[in-house]
Amino acid sequence: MADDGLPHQVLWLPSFWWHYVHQVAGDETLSLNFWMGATRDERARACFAAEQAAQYAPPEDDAVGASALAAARDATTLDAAVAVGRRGPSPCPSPATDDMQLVGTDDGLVSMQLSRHIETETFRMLGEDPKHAGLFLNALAAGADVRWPAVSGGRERALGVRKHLLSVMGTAERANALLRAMTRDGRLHPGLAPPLKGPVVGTDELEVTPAWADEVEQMVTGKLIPPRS
Amino acid sequence: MIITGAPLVRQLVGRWTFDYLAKVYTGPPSLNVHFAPRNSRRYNRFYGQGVGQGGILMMTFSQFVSTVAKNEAAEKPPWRYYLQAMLLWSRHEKHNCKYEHGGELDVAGERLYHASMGRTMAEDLAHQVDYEWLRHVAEMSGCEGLSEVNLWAGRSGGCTPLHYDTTNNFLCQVCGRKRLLLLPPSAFAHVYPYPATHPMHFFGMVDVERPDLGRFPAFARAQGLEALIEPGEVPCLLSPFDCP
Repeated sequence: MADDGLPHQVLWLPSFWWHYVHQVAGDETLSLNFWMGATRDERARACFAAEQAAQYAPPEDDAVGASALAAARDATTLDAAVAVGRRGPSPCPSPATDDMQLVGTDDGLVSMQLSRHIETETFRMLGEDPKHAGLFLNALAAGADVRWPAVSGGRERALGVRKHLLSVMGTAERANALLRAMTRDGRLHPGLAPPLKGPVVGTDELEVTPAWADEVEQMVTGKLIPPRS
Repeated sequence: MIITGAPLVRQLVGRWTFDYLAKVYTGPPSLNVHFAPRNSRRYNRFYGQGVGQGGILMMTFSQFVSTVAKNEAAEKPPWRYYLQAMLLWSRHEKHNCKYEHGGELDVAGERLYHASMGRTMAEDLAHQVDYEWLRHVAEMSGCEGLSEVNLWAGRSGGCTPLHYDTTNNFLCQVCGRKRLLLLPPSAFAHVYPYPATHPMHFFGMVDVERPDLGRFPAFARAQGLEALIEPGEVPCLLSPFDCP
């Protein structure tokens, strides 16, 4: 214990835990945070190992592969995709049951990491078009791929994604629950995020926002102006 | 998850204040100060059309303090500011190579670079932080060595939206209070992360203070913990949290 009797609180925040941080209004807040190690959480490592073991085996022939998109656009599958995307009637069990399927022996880290990876890989596999990737994963979440032609790029790619899901999640029920969670309420397609336009400024690039030069100048020189609307 | 009685930054409590840092920070104007319109309530780390209004400025600590003071003195303060500055970093952090370091420190069994911030502040950081305690706790919890120390400073009640980081973290209050909501990784099914290919992929799209349950209905099932952390004597709160 601290010898002056004050609590001296430290918050231990494990990697990959979601956190929302709010400064109490009016307080001068000063915090120090200590990040430990790199991106090498043991459980994440286990997940990445499984990911390497999984086989996508996308078809060599890209002309055939393009039929993945054709299949996803097919009227039947599109209906199913949109049904999942818009929370229409869907074949899935109650969402609460789905949620419980996602927490295995851990706190959900493996499911979360796998979902992120599947999204990225599907995006790459389908021409780096977020719309196509969203449509494709909506179709899988609805189980529409079973009706795609047995020998087709779409079916083969769907099988690759399902194999990967199964290798990590263990059962088809858990794999399907993850697909539904990823695509829930149109998260990927039609999409819930506002469209991105123009440059994005971030700390990683260590850039100062370019479009606000006038405001910045005036803030630093002391003249305040209202934000742009 | 709140460790009470931790000596980690004990020596800095009461010592490090806005006024003190404004005096002792004699480094270059390279502290990242995020700004956002008052009504946006969000520091995203990313700014632009589609991700939120605001931007990042580079300042000294005293520039930060006077900018905040001028803003707060206005009848309707138009902005919020939030400073995030890396003070110490491991040489293994490749992405940090672009920062010029102000020297090296041997702490917690590692050799780390520190930012150019002036001698007094660097000595505080070297001698007033209990790195031995940190090393001990890190070993007990099986996590790897210290990779980065950041300073966070704000005064206007802003927030960092719901997100996750990929590294284990000890968060310490030196001055003032912060309220946090914490949710396990499995909450990804309830918080609607931005798509994995979006620049804000490690943020949730739902606004946890004013959730739009029409667009994000699964957030109604989110469960987590609420914490209030502070450097003073009032005990912390750590209570179950349900969607408001």
